[in-house]
Amino acid sequence: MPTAMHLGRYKLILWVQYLLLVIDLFMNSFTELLRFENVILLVLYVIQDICILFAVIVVFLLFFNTYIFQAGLVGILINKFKSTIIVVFVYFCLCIGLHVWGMTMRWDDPNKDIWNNGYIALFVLQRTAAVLYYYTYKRSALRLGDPRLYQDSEWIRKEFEKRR
Amino acid sequence: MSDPAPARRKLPPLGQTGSDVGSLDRTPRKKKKKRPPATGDSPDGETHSPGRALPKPGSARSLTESESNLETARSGRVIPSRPKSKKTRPSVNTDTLEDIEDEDESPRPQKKRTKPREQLVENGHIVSDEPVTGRSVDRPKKKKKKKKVGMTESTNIGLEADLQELEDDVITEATDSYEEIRYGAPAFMRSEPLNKLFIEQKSGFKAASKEKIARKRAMNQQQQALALAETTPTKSTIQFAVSSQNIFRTFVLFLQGLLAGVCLWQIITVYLLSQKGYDVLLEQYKQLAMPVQCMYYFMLALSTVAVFDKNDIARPNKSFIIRSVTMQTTAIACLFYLGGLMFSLSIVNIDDRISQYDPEKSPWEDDAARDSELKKWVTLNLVRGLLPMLGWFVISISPKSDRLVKNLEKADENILEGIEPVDQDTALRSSGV
Repeated sequence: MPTAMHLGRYKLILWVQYLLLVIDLFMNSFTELLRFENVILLVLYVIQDICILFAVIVVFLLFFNTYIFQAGLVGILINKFKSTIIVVFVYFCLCIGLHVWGMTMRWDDPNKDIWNNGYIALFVLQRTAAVLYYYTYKRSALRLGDPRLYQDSEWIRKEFEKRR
Repeated sequence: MSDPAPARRKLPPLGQTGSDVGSLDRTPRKKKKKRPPATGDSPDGETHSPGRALPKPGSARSLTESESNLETARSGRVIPSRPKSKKTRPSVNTDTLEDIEDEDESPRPQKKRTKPREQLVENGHIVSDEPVTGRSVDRPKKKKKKKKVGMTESTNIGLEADLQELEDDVITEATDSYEEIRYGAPAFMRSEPLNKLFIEQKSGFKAASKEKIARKRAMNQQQQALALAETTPTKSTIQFAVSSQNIFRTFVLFLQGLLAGVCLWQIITVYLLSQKGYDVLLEQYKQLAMPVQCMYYFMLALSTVAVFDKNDIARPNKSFIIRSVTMQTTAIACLFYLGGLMFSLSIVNIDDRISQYDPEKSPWEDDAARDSELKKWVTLNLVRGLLPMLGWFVISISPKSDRLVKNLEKADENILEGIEPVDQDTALRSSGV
């Protein structure tokens, strides 16, 4: 039975998603200024990675709540939001790699000059992927507010019949 | 040897000929009277009933006939067999009436008095209700049923004839009286339609104007519609998404302007400081290096996302690409901001070294390396500042345009877009058919 997304619930979910994005943006922007102790850096990196995981969980929960997913047309939904899923997972991998490498090099001295060519390249990739992650995730969060994804329609019925 | 008493008792049945004597011709008659129940059959086929009451006075005609039969029986006159008429009654049981019936001239076979189809009475009780058949057997008298209008079960012509007569009688009398009432209404009872409705209340009838009531109802309906509109949420989820995007766009538009100004200031400051020597530059700028770097990344990231949303680059179409190439859209600003972001990120190591500058412990090996790197940094810093300014220049031409908002508002996000329809053969193969 298709159920529409309630406005109150959607507002809460959207605000949570925005909050997760803002936290990640602050982490990416200002962790270089907060290199006081290696433990502080470690905690900040862990919080950032957990926020990315929460964002993935929230977006997949939104996928599961759509009528298309409940009708069994998972492929269509994933096909439509594949850019978001790919960018999120690539960005998560880049974050893990950069944090692990950076912490490994800075564990003894957080202010040590660790900027070799490889680390600079990984740093640029991770920060650029972060911008793409913010854009695609925000766009998906806004598109998932479309009521048509939560309603039955003739097209969904036809697609379901094709796949039976 | 025939028994004269039963023969004398019997009168020819009304409406029946001699050929019909042997059979119980239960031609139904009008059901206007109930006869008392009759006894069971006698061995010789005759039905004897104890004293049978005269028909009830409810049916005038039958009463008259039976009375006449009674009279003729008492007088001893031969009653000629009447032609078969609608009013003949099949005689089932003998009764007192039969006892006083006169005998017919021709020897009449023992036959039962016909009774109405619907009623077989025995011993004063209604026994059964059977249709008329050709059998000459004593049957318990049936209960007379009032035949309802529209019944199609009856196949007996006599009964239908009786009913027709009844209907004729009824209709004639009723219509006459009804017409008299309808057309002969006195003058004081004429209809005078008023523009009022009379509403029944506890105290009686209250008159109310139809126009007022209609107006009141229209007002109530309007108020209900307004109340419903107020209670129901006016925004849908997609409208909330659009409003949040509008808020983000407005905020980032301010940030883009601020970024352009900060970039201009930073370019001028670095240029002026570098003119005084790299030592002065390092000494004065080392505290600003990393905060400016972090600020650049923060504002460039937001600006890049906003300009991507403004042009909705994830959903390009042919017309948009052509218009972007011909510089009719703000898509070029995407390149400016993304370029500025990447340039800013690429000089983070130099910014970090400038921020870690200590005259006693230089992060550079020698002054030559330091000067070359700082020269490179000033150039890249200039590019890092110019690109957001150019982007802001392009954005400021059409600050309110937002392709993502338009697409969300139109609900143009066709979820079929970009998805190939499933081939029938592939679907059948995949389903295992």
